[in-house]
Amino acid sequence: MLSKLALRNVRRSIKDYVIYMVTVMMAFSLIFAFNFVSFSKDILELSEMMENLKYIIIFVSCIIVFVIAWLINYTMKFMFSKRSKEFGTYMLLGIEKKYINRMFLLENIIIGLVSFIISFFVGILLGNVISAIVMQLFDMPYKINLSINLAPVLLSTLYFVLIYLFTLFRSSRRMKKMKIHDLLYLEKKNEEKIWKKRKNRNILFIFFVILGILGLYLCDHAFVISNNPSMLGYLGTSILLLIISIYGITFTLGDFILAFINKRRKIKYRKDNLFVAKNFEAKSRTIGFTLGTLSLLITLTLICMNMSFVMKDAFENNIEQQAPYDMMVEGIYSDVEESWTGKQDNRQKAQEYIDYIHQNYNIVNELQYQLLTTQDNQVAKHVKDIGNNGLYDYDVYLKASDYNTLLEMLGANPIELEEDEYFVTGDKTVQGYLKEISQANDTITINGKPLSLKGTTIKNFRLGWGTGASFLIIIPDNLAKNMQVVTEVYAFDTKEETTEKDNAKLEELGYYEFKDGDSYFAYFPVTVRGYYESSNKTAMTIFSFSLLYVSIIFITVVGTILSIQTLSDSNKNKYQYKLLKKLGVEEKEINKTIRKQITANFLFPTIYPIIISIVTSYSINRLFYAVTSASMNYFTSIMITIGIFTIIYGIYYIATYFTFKNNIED
Amino acid sequence: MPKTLEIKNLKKYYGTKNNITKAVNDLSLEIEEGEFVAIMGASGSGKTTLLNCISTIDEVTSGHIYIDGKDITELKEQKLASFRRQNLGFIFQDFNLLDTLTISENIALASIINKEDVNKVDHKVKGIAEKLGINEILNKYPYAVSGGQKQRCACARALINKPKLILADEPTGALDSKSSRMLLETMDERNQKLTATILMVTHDSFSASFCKRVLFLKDGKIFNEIRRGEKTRKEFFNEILDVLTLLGGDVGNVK
Repeated sequence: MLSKLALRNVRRSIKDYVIYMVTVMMAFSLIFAFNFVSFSKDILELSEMMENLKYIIIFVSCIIVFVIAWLINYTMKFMFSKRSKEFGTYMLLGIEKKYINRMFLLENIIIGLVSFIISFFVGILLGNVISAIVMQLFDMPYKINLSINLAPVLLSTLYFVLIYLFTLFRSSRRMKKMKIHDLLYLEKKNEEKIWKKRKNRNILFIFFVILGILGLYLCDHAFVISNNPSMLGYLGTSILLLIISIYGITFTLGDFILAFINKRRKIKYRKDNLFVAKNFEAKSRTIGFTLGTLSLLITLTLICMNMSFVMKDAFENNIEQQAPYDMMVEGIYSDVEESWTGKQDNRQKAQEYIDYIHQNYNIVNELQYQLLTTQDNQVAKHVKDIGNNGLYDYDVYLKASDYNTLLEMLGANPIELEEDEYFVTGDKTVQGYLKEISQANDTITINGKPLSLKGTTIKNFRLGWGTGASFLIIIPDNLAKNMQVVTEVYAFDTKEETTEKDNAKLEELGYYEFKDGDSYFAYFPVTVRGYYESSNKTAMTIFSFSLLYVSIIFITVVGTILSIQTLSDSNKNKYQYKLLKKLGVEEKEINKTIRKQITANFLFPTIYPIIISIVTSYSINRLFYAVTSASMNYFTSIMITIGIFTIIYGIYYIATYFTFKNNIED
Repeated sequence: MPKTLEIKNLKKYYGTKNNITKAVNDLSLEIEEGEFVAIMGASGSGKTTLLNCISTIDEVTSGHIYIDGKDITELKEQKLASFRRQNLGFIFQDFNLLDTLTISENIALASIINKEDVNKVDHKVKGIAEKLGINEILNKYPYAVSGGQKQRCACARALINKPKLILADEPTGALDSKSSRMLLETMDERNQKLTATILMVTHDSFSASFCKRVLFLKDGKIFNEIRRGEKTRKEFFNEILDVLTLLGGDVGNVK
């Protein structure tokens, strides 16, 4: 009888459970999918570092398990309060709490299991999609793989069991504490008010705004001094302040806005503002804590998603910057003590590498070039903090013909340089100084010959050219005489795509040695693009995908809770909307009011997080400025983030609207 | 006659130290086996609170309630469930039927959970349904039957285990006058034939006039008490109206 009753209840209340089920399914599909991917043989074979994806996903999953447990606990609480009268009736009829509890748990287990099984299959499909995307990143062919690895299934099942053990335990305790009277009259209860006095709340609101500003400032500051060990302290304080401020502002913002509206009769009594505002007022006072948590989750979502895009760009850009060509043999020769290798001659050893590459690869393009210097600082004097911006604090020259060949090897257009001209190119970090240089328009003298500035650019510059120099001066070929060699480099473009394995093979050839002070270091100065590609793409996959994973799950959690919240209102609002109808408000107007009410519910917890995420993304972008590509701009990344967020959030909004309308028309 | 219900110095207070509502204030009463008693009073007079205390929904502040000689204020929560199952029957204004169960399942629910023999329960359900005139709708769901039928179903549910005491909270509140009359006649008949003891809370004099005794509550205390004796229902009805006028409460509500 008990299980029969439980099954029937599930069937009858399926309408209420639908959003809950969809979310459990989405969440677990994602958990399954990401676990499948992180354990997938194809993916693990992509690179040696991929192994880490597994651990990161497990770590991230642990956080997600907490959030989902909160969600399911919340939903169970909601279902419990919705059916409290029914439970009260059972108790009145003399059915013991034990039985009622068992029945409710059984219902939840049924729903949980069904969702879990469905999400298993959805997870396999989704996992394949994600794998395909990752394989695409690595330019590898992808075959659909429906074979199932046992480890991720066990792990996901473990998460499921943990979540349900926790929520069922909470639910049991809730039931045990309930008195029959509470059950029969629970519908009328809400969360406890936290602040009762209105006056204090406005002061508190301002206090929390100040805390928030302080938090954001500290966050920005922490990123500015990112190399300093005290950064973590700043960042920790900033996070703490922001969390307090998020909760505080959600508790007080509602009243602040409402006080504003209440004082202005024109706004207050325009159309249905009064109705919506009063409904909202009742809400924001009673469910402040939940709204605060939602705001926090939205903030995390936006920041994670934004980070995900920035990271993706940073790693892609990093490949281009560090390894612009298929293979580069570096540090071959240097006259300069202050170069990154120190004064040395490795030509003999380097020749082994060069010969090896010639023998084993089909070379499309190759160039041996030197970075030169006279240890002057005619241009470098404009670049302050040069120690931070590059390795060399003197002018480093590159012959125009070498520069043009390097550009051509990248597929870019060469420049034309007259005999009496020089040209400066640098990376994004010295962009400001390049402007100063072109404004100063200095004439420099090299080997006795005056040269005028042709121009400056950050386009097509590669850090890999000068193995760390953040700007280079391009000079006419015939002036590159009687100069010291900073470093000598050999760059190759091969017909075949290089891989991690090529790197390993070259490594077997042995090491250079170079001197740093009194001690000698062994160094392996060959850059193989395939190696950089795979390690950067691996890191990108790991970071971007885990961040995206977190953010998508968070959005679904937030969407579900808001939706449940709003729909539980719809039952209470039914009477009010009927009254509006009776007062002669048209159907169209009522729908508009409903939309306004839902919009208020959905929009409210996003306001502050959007502000925070815009500001922090500015700071984050500054942190990653040096490593992101020139086209990456913080405004676009945050807009894309908000866009994606809005789309997923919008789906919940629309679904809620239609269900709400149905509930009221019933 | 043995006493089915005995209340001694019952107090039920709500609120905080500075703002106490004395919903039931030092109330004592006795109901004998087979009595059909109505409790009347204005809203806020403590009727429902009193009923909630008797039905063990609410805990008392002080005092004792004896049902069939057993002090229910002393019972632990676990025992209360089985006590309710064996001794009490409930009828509510809004029926409190379970939408997920058919009418017959609703009636049988407590017995089935009680692990009684299924065939026996079936037999019992049919018997009681026939007496209450709802045997035609046994396999329907609550949302498919009328209010009067729902209330008779609730009535059947309350009666099926032959409880010592039936508690009815405004049972006719949501019914039209014809259904009300049918329900009250049924209750009256059950009371006389089965000697079921019924305690009914109502603010409707018409409903109260079916009872043998009417208690009037004011500010948590018994204000007056009248017995029907040999009077006709009509005479008794008029007498109730007189007391209500005296009470100065809900006279506007009388029919």
